[in-house]
Amino acid sequence: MESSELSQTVEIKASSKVKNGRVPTGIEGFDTLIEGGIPRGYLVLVAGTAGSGKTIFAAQYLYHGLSRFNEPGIYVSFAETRKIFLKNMERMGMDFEKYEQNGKFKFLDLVTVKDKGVESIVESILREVSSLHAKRLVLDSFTALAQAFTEGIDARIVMHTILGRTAHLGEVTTLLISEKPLGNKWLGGGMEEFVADGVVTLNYRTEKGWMKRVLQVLKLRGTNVNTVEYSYSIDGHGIRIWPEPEVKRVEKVFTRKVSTGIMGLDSMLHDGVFESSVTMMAGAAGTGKTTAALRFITEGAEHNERGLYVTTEEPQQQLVEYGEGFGFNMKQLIDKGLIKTIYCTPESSNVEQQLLEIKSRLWQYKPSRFIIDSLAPFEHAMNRERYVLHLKSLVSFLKAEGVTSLFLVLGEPVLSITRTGISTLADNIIFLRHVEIESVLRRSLVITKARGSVHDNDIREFEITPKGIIVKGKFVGMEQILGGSPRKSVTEEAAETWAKAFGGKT
Amino acid sequence: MASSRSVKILGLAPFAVLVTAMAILYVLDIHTAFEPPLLTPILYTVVFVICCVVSYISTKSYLRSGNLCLSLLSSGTLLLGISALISGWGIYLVGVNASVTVHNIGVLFSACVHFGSAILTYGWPSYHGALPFSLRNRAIMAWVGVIAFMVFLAVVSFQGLLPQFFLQGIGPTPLRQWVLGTAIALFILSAIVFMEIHFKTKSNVLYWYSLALALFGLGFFGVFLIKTVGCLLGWAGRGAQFAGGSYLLVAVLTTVRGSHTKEDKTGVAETLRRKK
Repeated sequence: MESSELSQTVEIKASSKVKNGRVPTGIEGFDTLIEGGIPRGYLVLVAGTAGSGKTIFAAQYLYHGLSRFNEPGIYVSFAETRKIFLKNMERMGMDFEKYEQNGKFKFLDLVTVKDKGVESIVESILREVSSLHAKRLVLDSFTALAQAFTEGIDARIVMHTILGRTAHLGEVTTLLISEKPLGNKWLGGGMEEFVADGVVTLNYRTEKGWMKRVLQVLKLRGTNVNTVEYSYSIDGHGIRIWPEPEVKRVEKVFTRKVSTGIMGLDSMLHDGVFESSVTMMAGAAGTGKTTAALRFITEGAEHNERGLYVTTEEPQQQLVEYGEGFGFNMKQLIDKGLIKTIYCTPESSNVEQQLLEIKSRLWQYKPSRFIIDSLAPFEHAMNRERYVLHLKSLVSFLKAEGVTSLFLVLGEPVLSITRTGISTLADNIIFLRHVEIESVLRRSLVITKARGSVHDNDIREFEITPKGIIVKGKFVGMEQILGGSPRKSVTEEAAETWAKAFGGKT
Repeated sequence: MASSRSVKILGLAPFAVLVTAMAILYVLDIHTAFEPPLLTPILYTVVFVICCVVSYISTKSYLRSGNLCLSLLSSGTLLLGISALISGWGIYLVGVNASVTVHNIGVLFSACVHFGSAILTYGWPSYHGALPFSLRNRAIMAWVGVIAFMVFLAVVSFQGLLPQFFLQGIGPTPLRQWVLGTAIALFILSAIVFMEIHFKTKSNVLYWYSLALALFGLGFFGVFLIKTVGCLLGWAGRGAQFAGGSYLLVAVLTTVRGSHTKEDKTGVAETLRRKK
């Protein structure tokens, strides 16, 4: 079975070429934010809270120089020992020891030499830079170094006269790490940010109760930077910056209709939905959304159209069993490579990252049909603006690639789509709803939107049978079904009373 | 509302007024005809529309319950309505005899069907019949049958293929009196049977429907006595028929949401079963 979890690496290529005297950091997604890299010889302050990934950021920068450009580098640590550093970085796939042995890398462990005095420390750093012909330098951290100064002015002197000058003259590009206590509005000691050529902050932000890592380039001299906050993640491959969702301009026009796999629904939509259209199907739990989605994707697969099913509600195996239960031959179609399922749990990690990863999977797999079952966890984990922006980006991507999609939306039909403002993104909107009539729970279906196509306006009843969904006729003689309080129509009630008056049992 | 006791009693007043008027006009024996242009066709068209509404409700009820009484009721009111329509416009367009012939024969069939419905409601309130067609097909066949019959009747009557029923200024033929007399008797009997069921079940629908049939019977009795169509006695008879149409409408309105009573909702079948 071809299926996978959203934890694998997605290739977002880091820059590997030096452009216009810039030094690429090699951090995925970062160099594109700063015109390809840090201008050579600059001093950039990387400030962040504890656990924000400052050391990894700096290590990736050094390692990229070593591995891609053969640029010697020095890591000066006032906080972490060499052994721990090498071990931690090896876990991220960065083998510094190899470069240390061939004389390209040097780890200066100054954790225990802080009491030697500022001049001595600075001298030793400059000596190493000179002897190694280092092009990249990391000081981790300036906050720890500054603690060795008895006077605050000493730190400024070091920044200006020694480090700054050395860096510029020797064309050594330096990352200066600064610790930013949580809740502190200053970056480190409060003056590094003014002296440095560039400032990058790594922070946490709480969004809807979830911690989110955000990176911001506050300044970088000689570079056009966008100061918006970018989401980033740290995984087994280091730091990865997630780009802002891009809304593509869709030029293609599709006129072919494709079947949803549900005969009655196709008939209501006048031969199905348009290819590359986006359909939103909203309904409460148990209304049959997943059953409809399974049929939609297997219908495509039966006609050799590949389908990608992203499930956020239930594990893949469970989904496959559901499909098999309805006789949809899910297993066979998955084995043939015509259907791929992804189990995505937005609650467990960066939700925006997961949406971007889904896009990446779409790019790789190139399906004809795509399903998200359901959007609810994404909606819950993101603020409204970000949610709509990501969906817009995804929808434009799907349309540009010609993928026919079905998004399942959990909740009360009308509100669940209109309250978030996503209804305009959909080409087709289908509402499913439970209806209680005479102590029997029945299911209703109505199409409220079918862009560019005529559609049936009836509120139809449907049943979930062992063979899937069967759409029946409309609810005759009932009104207020969509409002949630169905009742008999005036004529129907009159007919009932009339029948009783003349003896009939209704 | 139409269900209160005082309103029900008030509903009997037209009978007293119309019976008195008819008696006086019969004694006065005035033969002058009053036929203002289009008045009769318009009034009969209103009766036709009301009859169609009742027929529609009865058909919907039949489709829900399958009770044959309701199918007969539907056919009966449709026959009555179409008879009124053809008669109203026939006098204006074709002539007195032809329109009286169509009307009286249509009314006779309507009376027969109504009587059958009343007897079934009284004796077998949930009688379903046993025809090899679906309810919908049966209902369609009934409507098509009634319309086809009335069109056929109109055609043969307008072509002069039926015996004479009425001579303007001279009066009705014995055949017409037999036909209309039978219809009147059956309408009155139907009204009595429905009223009897009303006394047992307290159904307001049946009360007003029963009075409507009685008013139609009275109206037909009024025209039974005339020798000139359009005379004052004839208008009293027509007035009773229009009142009958209004009562049919009242019967329908009592079924509309918020107007029907507990007895209406319980139903005749259930109430009669409990009484046994």
